[in-house]
Amino acid sequence: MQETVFKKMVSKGSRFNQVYVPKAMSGLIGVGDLVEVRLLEKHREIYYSKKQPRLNRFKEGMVNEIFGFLNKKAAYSCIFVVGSFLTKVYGFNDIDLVILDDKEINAKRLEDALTKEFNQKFHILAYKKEELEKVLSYDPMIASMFSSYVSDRLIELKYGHKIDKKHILFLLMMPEDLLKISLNPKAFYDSIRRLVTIEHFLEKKSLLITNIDKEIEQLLGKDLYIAVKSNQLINDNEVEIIRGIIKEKVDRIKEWVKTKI
Amino acid sequence: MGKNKNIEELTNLMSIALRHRIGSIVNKEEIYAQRYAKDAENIMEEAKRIVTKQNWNDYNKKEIRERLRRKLLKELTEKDFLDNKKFEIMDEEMNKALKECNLN
Repeated sequence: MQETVFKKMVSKGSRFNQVYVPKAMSGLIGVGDLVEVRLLEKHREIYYSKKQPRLNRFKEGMVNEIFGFLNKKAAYSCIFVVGSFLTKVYGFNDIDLVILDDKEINAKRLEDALTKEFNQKFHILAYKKEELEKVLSYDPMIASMFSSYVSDRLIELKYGHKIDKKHILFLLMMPEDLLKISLNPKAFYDSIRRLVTIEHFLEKKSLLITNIDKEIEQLLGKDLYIAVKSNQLINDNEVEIIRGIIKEKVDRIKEWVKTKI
Repeated sequence: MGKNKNIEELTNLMSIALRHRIGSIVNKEEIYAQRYAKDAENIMEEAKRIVTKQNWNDYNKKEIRERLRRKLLKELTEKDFLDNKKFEIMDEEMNKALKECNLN
C-alpha cells in the first residue's frame, strides 16, 4: 500500500483531544481505516510561578530552546529556570537551572553540553522533589531562589517554614569571615544579600529577589550598591561601611536565633 | 611581604576555606556541598593568589602543613554547630587542598 502521511497538531476537544484528517485526504483515509499516530515533536509550554513577570520574547525563546534541548536528553520530572536570568533586564550571570528527577543526574556533564550548545554559562542543581521541598522549608537562600521561577511543567511545590539553628549559623560563616578577611567586592554583596534574605526568612517577609535587592540598595546607597554588585573595585572606607552593616546584621540574626529558638 | 607573613596569611585563608568546604560536606545532605561550595572556592582562590607570590621549598611546605593543621583544628573546634564528622575528614580535605595549591 502506498504510504499516506500527513502532519497535524493535536487540538483540544470537549471530551478527548483530537487529530483531524485534512479534507484533501478524505479520499485516501476514510472512516474505518486503521491509522497510527506518532509523536513527532512535543509542544513546549512555559509555566510561570505566581510572582514571576512574563519574560520578553528573546528570553522566552531561549528558555523554550533550553527546555527542548534538555527534554531531548531525558524525560526529567521538571526543569526550572531561576535566578538573575529572570530578574535582570540587561545582562545576567550564569543561567541557573534546577532539575527535579528521581534518578541520578550528572549536572556537570549537562552544564557542559548546554554551554556548548548555547555558548552561555549554566549552573545546574539537581534534586528529588521531596529533597527540594525539604530544603525549601529551612534554607532561606533556596526559598528565595524559588520565590519566582519558570518551569517546563505545571508543578505544585510545598513551601514549609522551619528554622534550623545550625543551618542558619552555617550560613552566617561567610559574612562573619568577611569581617576578618578581604575578598572581591562581589563576595561582600553576596554576603549582605545572604543576611537580608535570612532576616526576611526569619521574619516571614517576602523572599522575592527583587525586593531583597531593593533593600540592599537602600542600605548601601545606589553607587556602592552598583559597585559591589558588579564587582567593581571599592576603597577601604567603603569596605568598612559594608563591614559595619554585616556586623550589625550578623549580631541581630544571632540574637534572634538565640532568643527565639 | 616576607615569606613568613605570606605563610601566615596563606594558612589563615586556607583554614577558613577548608572549614567552609568541610562544613558543607558534613553539616547536612550532599546538596550543600554543591550549593555552598562557592564560599570555599572564593576563599581558596585568594589563597592560591598568595601561593604564586613565592617559591616554596620543602621546609616551607612542612611549615605550611603544620600551621594549617593547627589553625584548621581550631577553626573546626570553634564551630560547634558543624557535625563532629568534620574531624574525621579533616586530614583528607587538608591534603587535597595542599595538593591543589602544589604545596604537598
